[in-house]
Amino acid sequence: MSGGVGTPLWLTLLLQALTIFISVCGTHILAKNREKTKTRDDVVKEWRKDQLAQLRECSELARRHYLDPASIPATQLSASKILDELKRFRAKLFDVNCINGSDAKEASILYQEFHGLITGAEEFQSGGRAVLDMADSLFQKIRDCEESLARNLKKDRSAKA
Amino acid sequence: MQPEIRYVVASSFSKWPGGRKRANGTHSGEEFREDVVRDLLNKYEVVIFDLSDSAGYSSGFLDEAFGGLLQYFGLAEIKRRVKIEANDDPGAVEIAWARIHDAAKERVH
Repeated sequence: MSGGVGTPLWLTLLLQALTIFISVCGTHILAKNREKTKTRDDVVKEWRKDQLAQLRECSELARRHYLDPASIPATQLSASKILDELKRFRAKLFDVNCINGSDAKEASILYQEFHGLITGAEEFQSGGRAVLDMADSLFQKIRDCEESLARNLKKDRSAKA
Repeated sequence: MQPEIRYVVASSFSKWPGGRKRANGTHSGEEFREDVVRDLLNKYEVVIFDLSDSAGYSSGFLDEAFGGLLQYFGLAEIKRRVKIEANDDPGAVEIAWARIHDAAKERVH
């Protein structure tokens, strides 16, 4: 018996079976890979969303701390809350990998700068402090640093394996 | 001089470290440096400062506590004798060392 001129039927059938098998396996592997990539992209997307929100929260708390007269009698509480939120932000800063190593270094330096701007002032934890004027240069510096950090967070990153 | 000690700030100094100067309230960086760090470095060859489990450190505290060490010791000696750790706050460790390096640069210029 043969499947064509000179080709045995069993070989034709075997080749067809192999073709189907390879095709199914290939599709399966591609689908799995796409799923894995999608999940990893989702992890980075979710991380970025959370970190940008946390960054805004830190800035907002800092602005309230220095501008709101009601925060003066609650200085210790307000300062503790800021330190806690900054700590949370930093704790997750490297939960995903930077594609470019220099972006990781920049993120670390910008975080230190941001932390320093908000908590470095002598009166940060002083109950005897006065509220600052909205035009104080500190707020522009915090905004600028926040924007730089936000830009850094938007740079290419990948989920950890 | 004794060889080494691990000093856990949260349990031996304060879980809620204060601001930069004594004038800003209790448990300030200045108080920590003058009353704790200097004393420990006079008694021990190596001091490991464990910053874990605190409510958080302000940059003012870290600057005063660790950057201020340059008043007594050179950068090389600080690097050799001081270790700073924090398993829940790597940012505090980075800031402390950054302030030490900044203070060393300021003293050179």
